[in-house]
Amino acid sequence: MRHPGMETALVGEPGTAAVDETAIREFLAGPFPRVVAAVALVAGSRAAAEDAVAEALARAWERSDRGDAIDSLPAWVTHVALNLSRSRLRRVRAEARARERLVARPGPGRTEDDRLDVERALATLPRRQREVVVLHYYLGLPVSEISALRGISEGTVKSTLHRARHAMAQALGEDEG
Amino acid sequence: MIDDRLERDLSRAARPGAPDPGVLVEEIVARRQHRTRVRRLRAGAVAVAIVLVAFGAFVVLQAQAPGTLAPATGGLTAPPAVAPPLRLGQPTCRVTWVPITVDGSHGFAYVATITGDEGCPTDGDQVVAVDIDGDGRADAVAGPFGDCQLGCEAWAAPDLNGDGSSDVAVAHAGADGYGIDLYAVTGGANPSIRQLQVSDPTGKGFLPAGPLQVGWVDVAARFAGARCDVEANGTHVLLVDNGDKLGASAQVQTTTLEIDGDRATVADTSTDTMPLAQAPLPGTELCGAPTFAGVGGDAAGDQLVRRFTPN
Repeated sequence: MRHPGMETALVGEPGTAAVDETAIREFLAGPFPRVVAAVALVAGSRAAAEDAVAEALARAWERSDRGDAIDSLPAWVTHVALNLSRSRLRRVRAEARARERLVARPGPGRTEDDRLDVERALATLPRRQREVVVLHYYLGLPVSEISALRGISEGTVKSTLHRARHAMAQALGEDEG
Repeated sequence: MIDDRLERDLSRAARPGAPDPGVLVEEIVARRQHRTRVRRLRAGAVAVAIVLVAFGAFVVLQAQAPGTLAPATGGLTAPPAVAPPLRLGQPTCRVTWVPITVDGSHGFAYVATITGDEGCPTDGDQVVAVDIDGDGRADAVAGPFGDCQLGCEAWAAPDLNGDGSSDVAVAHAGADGYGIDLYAVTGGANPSIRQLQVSDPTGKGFLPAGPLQVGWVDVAARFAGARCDVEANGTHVLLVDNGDKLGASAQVQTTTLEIDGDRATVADTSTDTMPLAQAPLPGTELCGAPTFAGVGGDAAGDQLVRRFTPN
């Protein structure tokens, strides 16, 4: 289940060095695209995901400047970016709707027709189920790590994953196995 | 098998893209510097507030000392400085509040998370409740609403339509600002709190019909906010602004709303280019009511703690 390389990509070494420009550049060259992609799957917007991850990195850097320890930068950034993508989307949507009336905005990329069935099915899930599905199936995290990352019990992760899996199987016409 | 398909298709759907490290590092450095500036400003503001409160308390104590007469008061008492714990009929947590005045009665508006089986859920249902008479009991409730993980809060109690009663602003914290939901409050025998709904009969407004949400943000390239005004005929209006900063100037789209109950009807719109110094940038007040925080979007600021109640 776990993707190759994700052990170091998200978990990292506990008690690693302070977050500085070097650490930021290493993150951008390493786990950044996958973390952005994961947040985009949950949030439904790549632009919002990139923005949330950039903001999370800035916060991590600022916290480190203040002396706070961040054990695993990828895990911390994933967690904070997922949180940021929630309420930020509300405002982004509201502002985007307002601006659409005056100016034609450049399209971010894919049209509805291009989206895969699984992406559409994912979008119908409640937020927490989406997060758990992406963390588990896309980033390949086991239940214990999802529990630690999101601050919810392993039992809740399992039950959420079970419900999400059932809903996705129904939506996609797949056998749950 | 669903597991195989999810692994395969999610990877295909996500399609990680290669970042431009130079641009991203520059952006992250700018964000970090902005956050540091905002934090310092807030720390300074809190220090000033503490000094002012201490001075105010000293003055009050001096005025009430033996041998002096306290000023006479009549009618309603002033609102208490701290809200009583919210009584909603079910356990709540992460409660913030602002004082309100409705039909001359002093009370509070609360934003609270409904406590779940596993304690205070970070993504739990949140509600906004009003206590008209200040006893802590919720007289009317709206919600639940979601998308509050970064911290929804009771943010301000402006009088949006000039009727002398408070309305309630609830803020959803975001990365660099807030989304503000506005609620109309009524008192009387059947108190109510209802989110303002945009009505746009002419279709010319810059706001979507439905629940009104206002951005409250001031960053390098853009800003959003709202303000009140009184037109020549005496009508109180709410102006909602969205602007782009273009060097020393700004282009601002403004929608003028007339507020009647929970209906916000688009009355006018404008698009203006003006010097940035004259642009309606958001600050720390909405229609004369102090806001819980500025434009930084950091819900973990010191001021949040001040407004929590022990539920």
